[in-house]
Amino acid sequence: MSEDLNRRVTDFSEYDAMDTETLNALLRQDCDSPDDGEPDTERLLYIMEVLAKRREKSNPSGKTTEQAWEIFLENYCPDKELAASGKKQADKRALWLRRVIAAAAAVILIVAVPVTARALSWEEVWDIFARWAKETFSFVSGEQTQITEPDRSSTEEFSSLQDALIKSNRDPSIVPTWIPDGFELDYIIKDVTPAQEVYYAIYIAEDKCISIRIQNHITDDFQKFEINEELIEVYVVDSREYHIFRNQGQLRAFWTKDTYENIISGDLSIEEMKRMIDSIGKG
Amino acid sequence: MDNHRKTLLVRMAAVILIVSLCVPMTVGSATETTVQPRASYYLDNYNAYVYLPGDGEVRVYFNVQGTRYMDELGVLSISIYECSTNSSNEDDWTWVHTFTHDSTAGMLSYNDSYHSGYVSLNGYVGRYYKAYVCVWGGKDGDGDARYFWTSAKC
Repeated sequence: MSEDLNRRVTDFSEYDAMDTETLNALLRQDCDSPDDGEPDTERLLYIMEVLAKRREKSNPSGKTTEQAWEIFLENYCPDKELAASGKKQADKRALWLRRVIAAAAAVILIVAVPVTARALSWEEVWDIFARWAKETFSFVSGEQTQITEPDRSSTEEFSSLQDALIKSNRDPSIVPTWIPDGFELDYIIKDVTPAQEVYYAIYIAEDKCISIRIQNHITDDFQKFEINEELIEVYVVDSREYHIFRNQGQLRAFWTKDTYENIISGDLSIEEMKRMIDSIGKG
Repeated sequence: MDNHRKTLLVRMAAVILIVSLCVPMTVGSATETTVQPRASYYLDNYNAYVYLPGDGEVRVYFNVQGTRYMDELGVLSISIYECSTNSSNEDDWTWVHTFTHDSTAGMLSYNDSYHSGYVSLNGYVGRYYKAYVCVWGGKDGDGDARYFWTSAKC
């Protein structure tokens, strides 16, 4: 064994002096190459070993992908039979396969490689969320007892989002009154649970959609939003800030009023988004 | 193991290594406060929380909003954990039960843009509970999953 190791060090020691980028390029080159030549497994293993050592040195407490996966299985997927059956079912349908892959990737990123708020734009985002959290927490101590038990069997019907808010004794002036041409209201949901109150409306135009969500909550579990990293604009109307982001192809605007967090999301142009914002509380 | 298979395995490992090296690394656990700039073609927003109505019942409420109508939308799994204190040490928490979409009705909705609901089990008064949740939005054979912890409640 030691003899084998010595041979490898002797044979491949040239890679020790190469920079990481070059070694990565060599690995990529091998992975991209047609699978017809004589495999050089030892050389690949040696390069990977060098890279792993460098990574460990730069991040001594970090976790490898394999370790992350083990952590997931040990800590977050305690039902081993479930994990096994999930893998079996993954073969049955492409969508299910995609679920498993996506879930594994998400878990690896969450468990092993959390990305900190390192960019300024993300610090700004964090500030926004923190500020919302503070406002929401102040709401907790004030009105906790006023949230009712869930009424998921409600048969209430609403003609508009404003109508839903009025019938729920909420302020209807917090939602836009203008919707881009061609969009029609598809449905409205009033979802009241012990610690969260949501009014949600979706508008459809062919393959496009817009949603408006009005919510408050009395829990310290905050709504998690998918957004691209860059803040597009802070649009100010009547001294109120509307933070406009993109989530892949869609635009979204966040704002707060009183104890409510409000979100417009959808297939909108910036101009349409701003016009919707301008219409809040009007007419 | 034949040479060909061995080479394939090595190449797979190399791909994983390359991908992992491309991601900035920091030290931390899943429960640390981190901000992850992520966007999704499928998921718009989501949340879950533990609610204890009394008599030892443990409920986990969830809501998931898609970016548009999704073929599948909701939660794939909810794992509930229990502890006698609100310990920050993960080892102190005991796994109680995992609800999955294929064994629990109502966790997934089909052809929908918003889905919510809750799962429930009997626990003990005076103990802390928290949940690890996997939300999912899928359309046209593709989709995104996200994992997160709820806060602990007693």
